[in-house]
Amino acid sequence: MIETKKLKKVFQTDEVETTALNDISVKVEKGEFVAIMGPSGCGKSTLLNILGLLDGPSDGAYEFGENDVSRSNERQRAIIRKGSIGFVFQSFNLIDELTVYENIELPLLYLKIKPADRKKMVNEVLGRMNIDHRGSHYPQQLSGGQQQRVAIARAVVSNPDLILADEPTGNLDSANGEEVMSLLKELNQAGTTIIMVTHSPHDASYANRIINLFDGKVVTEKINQEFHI
Amino acid sequence: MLKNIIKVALRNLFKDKFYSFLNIMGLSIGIAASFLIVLYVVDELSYEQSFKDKERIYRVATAANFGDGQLTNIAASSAPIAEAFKNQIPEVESITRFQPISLNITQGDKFYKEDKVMFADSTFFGVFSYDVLEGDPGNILAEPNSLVLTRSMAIKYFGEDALAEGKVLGEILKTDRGAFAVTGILDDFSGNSHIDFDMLVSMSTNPDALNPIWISMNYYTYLKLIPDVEPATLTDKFRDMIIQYVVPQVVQYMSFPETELTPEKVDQNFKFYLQPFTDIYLTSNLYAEFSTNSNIQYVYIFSVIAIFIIVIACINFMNLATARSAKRAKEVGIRKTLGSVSSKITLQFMMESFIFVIIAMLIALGLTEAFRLPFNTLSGKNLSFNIFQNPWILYMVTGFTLVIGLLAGSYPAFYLTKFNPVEVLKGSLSSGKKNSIFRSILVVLQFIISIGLIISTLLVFKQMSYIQTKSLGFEKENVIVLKNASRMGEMAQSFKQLLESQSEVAKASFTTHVPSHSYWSTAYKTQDDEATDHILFYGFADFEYDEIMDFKMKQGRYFSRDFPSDSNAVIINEVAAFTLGLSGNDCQDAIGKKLETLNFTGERMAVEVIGVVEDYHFKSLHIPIEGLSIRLGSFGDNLAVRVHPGNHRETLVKFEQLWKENIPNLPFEYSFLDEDYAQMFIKESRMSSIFTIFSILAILIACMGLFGLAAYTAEQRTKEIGIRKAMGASSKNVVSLLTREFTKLVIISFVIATPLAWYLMKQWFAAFAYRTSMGVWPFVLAGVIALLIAWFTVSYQSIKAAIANPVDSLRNE
Repeated sequence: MIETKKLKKVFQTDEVETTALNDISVKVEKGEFVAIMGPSGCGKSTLLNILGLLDGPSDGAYEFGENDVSRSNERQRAIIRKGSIGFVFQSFNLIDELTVYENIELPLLYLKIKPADRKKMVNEVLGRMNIDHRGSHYPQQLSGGQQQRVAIARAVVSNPDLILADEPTGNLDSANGEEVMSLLKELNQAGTTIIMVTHSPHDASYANRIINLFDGKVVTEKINQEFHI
Repeated sequence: MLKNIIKVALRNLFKDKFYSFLNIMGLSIGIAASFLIVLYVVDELSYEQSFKDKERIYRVATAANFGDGQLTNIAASSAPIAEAFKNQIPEVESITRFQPISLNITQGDKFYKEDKVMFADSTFFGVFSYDVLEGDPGNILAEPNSLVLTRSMAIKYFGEDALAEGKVLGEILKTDRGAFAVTGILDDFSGNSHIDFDMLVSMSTNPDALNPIWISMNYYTYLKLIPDVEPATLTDKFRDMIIQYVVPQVVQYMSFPETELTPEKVDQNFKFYLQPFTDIYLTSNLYAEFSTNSNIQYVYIFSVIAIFIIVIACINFMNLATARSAKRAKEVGIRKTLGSVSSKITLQFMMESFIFVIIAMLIALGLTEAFRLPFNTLSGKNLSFNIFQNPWILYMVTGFTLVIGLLAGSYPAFYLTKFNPVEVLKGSLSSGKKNSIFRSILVVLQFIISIGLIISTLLVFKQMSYIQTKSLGFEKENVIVLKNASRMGEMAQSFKQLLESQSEVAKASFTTHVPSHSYWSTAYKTQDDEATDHILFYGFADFEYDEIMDFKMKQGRYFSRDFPSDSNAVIINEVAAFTLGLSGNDCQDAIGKKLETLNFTGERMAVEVIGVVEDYHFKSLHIPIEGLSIRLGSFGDNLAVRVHPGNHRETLVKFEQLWKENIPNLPFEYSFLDEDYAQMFIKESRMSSIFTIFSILAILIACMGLFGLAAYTAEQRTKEIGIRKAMGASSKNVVSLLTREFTKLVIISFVIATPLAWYLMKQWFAAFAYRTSMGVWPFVLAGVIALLIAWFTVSYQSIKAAIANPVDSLRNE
């Protein structure tokens, strides 16, 4: 459903020029669970941001579904992004001033969904993630694992086609991390395409394809023979 | 340690150049504006302060019933009071009179007109401690035809050298009132006083000074009481003197039956009272004041504005400092772990505030001096900002620095030092909801003040335009008034005809008064009611006066050459007709009625009402129109010339030429009627300009603060904005998110400010006899302006934040 051709991303800061991505060509089909791996600084997050339409490439082509978004500006990317892509970040990125319920509701607000429908959708996803009793609490009152579950709930509440996860278990202990990965696997099995950035081989084993990046280039791609169940 | 603190403070200042600049500029402008207001207020409060024994000096004022049932308070008093008081009231240490006059001086072939001259008793310097440079103060005003000059006048007429060599005393100046010898020289008065003169002539030169009439008030009488006497204790003595002197004359001249004048009746209808000398300039607004006084109300208003401005500037400072506190939190945490104690850290931040304030103060001093001259022009004053001449300025500067530094620096300092080092270093310090509530309160306060000022400014503007464009009932445009007409002698009529033959001239008329002048007043009786005296203003004008003034006759006619009996005719206005009880049948009742009055020699005479003119504003719009009567006479000192619209400057040049050719012995002096009239509102005009400017300044400072705060808030919420954008927020969503909160604050401010401003402005409006309604649009407009200002200042930051790339905000730490 998405394809990049010779993607390039260069960052300029004052006098320093950094080429974060150089000649990236990848393809992700609907329903896949792809893991992008590589050491720190190899450009994984940058690639994820571009794939997630949070940023634009300096050069190269990017097709998202039927749209060529290679040179789209922020406004155009926002329109395509809305409702189609859900994000899960390493540091959760919940809004501290909003309750759990309000955090999850946020994407639906921007999709202009009616209040009654919003309520239904949020409550459903709260139940699915087993956090219904936490609806009126604030993020600061939750543990790390619970916060990430809220973040995932927020990511799926609008039933997006694609979920992008950037080091989803990076700030969690192993038990919570396990839980998060199972959740992601379930979602994928239910039909959601997932692209995940990680440097944990354990986490990567949940995916069905692993792309390795090094210094901004794709080095290997392999199908995961052993699916983790 | 101190060096360390200063180093850190300065580095912080330069690190956030934008905020620092905003903060310092806002504070400087605020301080400078306040300084100018303080200079103004101090000047206003300084009147009479340079006189010795000022607390014992009083003006004798008269309160009299002029036949309209009310007591009218008059600043002037009658000629014989001074002598009588001195002889019969031992509590009076010294007493003096003076009377403003003008002199025409001839020196060689030069003519001068001096308008700031006064007749003054020989006791003048016993009451007022002017600095006498040459001559004995007790003597210089004793002999008739004595002239006392100020230093500047001495130099003007005799030159600096003569003055330096002491050759001015004894010199003679030829005037239209005789030849005067210079007997004394005063230093130029360096203080402020409502009494203003350039020359004094001895009262003994004035024959009228000996007149025994107690019921004609043509002099100013000031006295000095012996120490420790309360003016109130003299009330009985005053009453006794009124019974002794005033009552017999009222009986004699105004044909009042003596039996009617019981002590109680007298008390209700005629009083003397003492006005403290130092109160006159700011609070006295009696009939016949020496000159237009000021109003203590304005002193209060401006003081309040100065306080407002400082408060707004301090609020900005506090807001921005606290807002940026989160950035300093890490530094605080580190200092604490390194062994610093809370109080030391408080001290550090206090010192930083002071450094900020000191820098702002230095800039403010520069700004104050830079804007001093324009402000002088605006306020009509001559303020100086010289520390050497006025050491109190130094105290003010130090005081301001301390107060502002403490006030503005205290909250941020205490707030910052409360941070728990552990939480701070872990990074889990939230910016705090409590903190933002306090900040919101400060913003609301600023906007209440700003909105209040906008409303007031709009209302003042509304009233001033109303006053300036209100129909006066006569045409004030295109009238040139030439003075000294009464001394033209035989040339008068021919010169008038000469002018009228000029193409620029429509008509010319001799008149004793034009609107905005001080009219004479006299008493009239109707034939039905011999007992009651009705006081009306009066003046004399010739046959052409109605065409000059272009007023409307309500009934009857204006004077006409066809009726020789018009020399005993009178024209009255509608108010006069009402006062005389002749306003029935739409004032038709007045026509043909005879009124009794006194002529110049005090003899009774009868005049017939031939016309009633529609009321017109012959005096200031400050007061309701009063009763006016016009008599026929062409001896007036004013030659009012109505010219066709055009280039009046050129017309004046022509007039001056004609004047010089035909009446070379009289000075050519003129004024424009519309300018004369506008002069009556000069004080309000000035006030309104000053008020507008300072309001705009206050609002500007509030905006600067809001701008900085919005910038900071947007920056603070960058991460949140990034998340929302990732969740699908459009730029519009983000902008409305950020402006929504400020909009709420502005609306709250508006709701609070409106009733307050309405109430306060209602008081100001009440002081005008002719006023427009406050209406609704100034309030609505103020609200709209405030919202627009808030949106404008906040939106720049919001839009910047909204179109930023979410990635930049979400970058993992």
